Amino acid sequence: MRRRSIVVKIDVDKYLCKGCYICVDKCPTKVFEVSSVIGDYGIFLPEARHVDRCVDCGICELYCPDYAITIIRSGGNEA
Amino acid sequence: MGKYSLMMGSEALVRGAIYAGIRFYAGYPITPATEVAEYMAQLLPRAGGIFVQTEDELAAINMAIGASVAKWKAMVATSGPGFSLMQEGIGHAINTEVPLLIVDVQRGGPSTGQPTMPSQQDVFQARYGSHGSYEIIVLSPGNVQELFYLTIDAVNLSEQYRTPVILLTEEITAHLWEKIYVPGPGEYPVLPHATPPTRGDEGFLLESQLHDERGYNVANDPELSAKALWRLIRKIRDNVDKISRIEVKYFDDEPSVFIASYGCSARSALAAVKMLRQDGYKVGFLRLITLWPFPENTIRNAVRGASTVVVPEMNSGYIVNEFRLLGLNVVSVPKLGGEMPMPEEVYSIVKGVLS
Amino acid sequence: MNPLIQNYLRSEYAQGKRRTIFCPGCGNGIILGYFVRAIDELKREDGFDDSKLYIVTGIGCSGNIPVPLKYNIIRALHGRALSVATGVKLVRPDSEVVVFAGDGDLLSIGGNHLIHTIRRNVGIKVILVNNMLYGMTGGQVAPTTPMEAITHTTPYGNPEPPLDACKLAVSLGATYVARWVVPLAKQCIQSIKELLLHRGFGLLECLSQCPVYQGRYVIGIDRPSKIMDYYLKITVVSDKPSYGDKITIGKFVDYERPTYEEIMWSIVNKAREGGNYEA
Repeated sequence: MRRRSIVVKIDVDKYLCKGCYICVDKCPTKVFEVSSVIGDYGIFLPEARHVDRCVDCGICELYCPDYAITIIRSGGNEA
Repeated sequence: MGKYSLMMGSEALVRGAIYAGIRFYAGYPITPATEVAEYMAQLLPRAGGIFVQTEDELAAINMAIGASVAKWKAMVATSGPGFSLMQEGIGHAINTEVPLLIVDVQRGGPSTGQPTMPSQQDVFQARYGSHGSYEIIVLSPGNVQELFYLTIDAVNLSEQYRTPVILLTEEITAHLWEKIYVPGPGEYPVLPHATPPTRGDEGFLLESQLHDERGYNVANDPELSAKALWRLIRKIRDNVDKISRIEVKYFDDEPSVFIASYGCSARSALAAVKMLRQDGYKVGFLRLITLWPFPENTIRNAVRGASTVVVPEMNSGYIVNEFRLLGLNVVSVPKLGGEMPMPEEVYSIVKGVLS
Repeated sequence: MNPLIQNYLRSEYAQGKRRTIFCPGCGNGIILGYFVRAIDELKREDGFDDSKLYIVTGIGCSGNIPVPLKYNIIRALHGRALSVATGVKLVRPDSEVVVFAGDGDLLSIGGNHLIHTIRRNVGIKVILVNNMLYGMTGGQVAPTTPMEAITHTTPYGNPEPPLDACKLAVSLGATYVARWVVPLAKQCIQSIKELLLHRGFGLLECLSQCPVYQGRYVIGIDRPSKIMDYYLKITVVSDKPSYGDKITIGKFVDYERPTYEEIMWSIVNKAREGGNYEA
């Protein structure tokens, strides 16, 4: 519960994302959803719609093959 | 101060290489280049260098590339079949602009061929052996003293043009014992080693595909690929006259016939010229020191006025084609089987041409 | 862009002018992330000096993994990464040499060099990215492809049994051998850290997904995350390497013996004691 409040936003770089949706499938609390926004590669970008559910496990960052995901925590932009 | 010493061609080559700053040798035993490896194994560690006997020639040339990229001047020596195995690595060194000395002590081929016999059958393999369009520097020494100096020159050229340089010698020269002069330290110029440049805290990127100045792959871009490849070709092609060297003798009276040769065959050629001169025939002598890039202009100037060039060589007639392309009448004297063309053979052929 | 990884990229990649060439969902990008994180953690924990890092790669998809990184990178010929790396390590024994190679590169065309590099115990660290086929050329059978698998060059099923790289390495006396799968992020990062700190030859085989060819043809799943799940299903943790229906993962060997470059340099120093070379 302590960690949940830290994550304020999960940023997906729309220039780098190739739309493999590993983040969508692998997030243990299903924070991500496929949005209708089209990224630079012509794919529907994943979007962190339910950041309130995030437990800050960092798996989306770790698994992202294109270093497109950044977890932004309160008090700084540190990974 | 230098000193005079009696030594085998292979030893002269090794001492020349160490003089030129070679500190890494990787090789696989192969007749007749084994002596180079043996002398290297003995002398290189004492010079603070590293000798490795690798599992095959592919590993040898790639280890040498790694050593050259990381820190030291490096070389490999091989013969016939091993030279074939190294061809891919030569192309790699050309594209990544790695200075490297490759020695091919030629033996008879094809295949396992004639391991213990000399030949000059790798003349075209040295030039065209690797795949793709490229230019390469190939030097051919005529005697043991020159083997020593040309080894140093080859290393200097490879550093100057950042390209592999092939020293193409024959079993005869590599196994020949002659008295040579070994210069003292600093007596003969040696260039420093060039490693890939880095930028700031960024390391280098050595790309084996065609690449731009930063090392990034441009293989899918026709324009940039062509630019990258032309640069590699032009750095040799535009400097042919600076790179190439020939030796011309008996040319003052503008003879109409020249005997042109290279490597050990040139020794027979020179003997034949002397015999012909003694018998009153006006014949000139030309020896290629740089085989590739072929010194067209230099040769044109040297043999001006001559109509015929007789080319004795220990293969089925390779370099003779280059003379043919110069628009000269050529007489090929090919010699297969592992024996040198004898002065008498060349003598009688030239006599036939003159009469 | 992830700021942690951005710190370790070449300027063009860091500024977003260039992007990695991998297909969507490729394990190579994930391994790139693990490698950067391992180095980052080592730098913070142990003061690891990454300025002396040389990375040598082979040819194939895996050869493109380190290209965005700002280290000294040598892209060697197909199969010859270990030879080039040996050359680098011998003349720069104080440097850290890492090799990225694929299964075809390291086990098929470069198999001979693998055997002799392990035999010599050259202190280079190999990260073998195993996607069970040749991805770059379009999905052909590799020495690691399971038997009876359908690929573009085995349309009627693979007739050859696969090769277990870890078992080979252990039998040859490699001093560090581990195998992990891409979904196990922490284990992979920990293993890369151990590898970088290890003295002597180290091999980390990382089973990685190729959604485009391996997923569609060999396994029959094309969603990257589902292939990752599949990998977890077919692997079991063990201390003995095995590569069959079940693939064992874990650290198989970790010990030390004198390395090639140490022995080589002691020979050089000994030879110089007997008198320096004079021309």
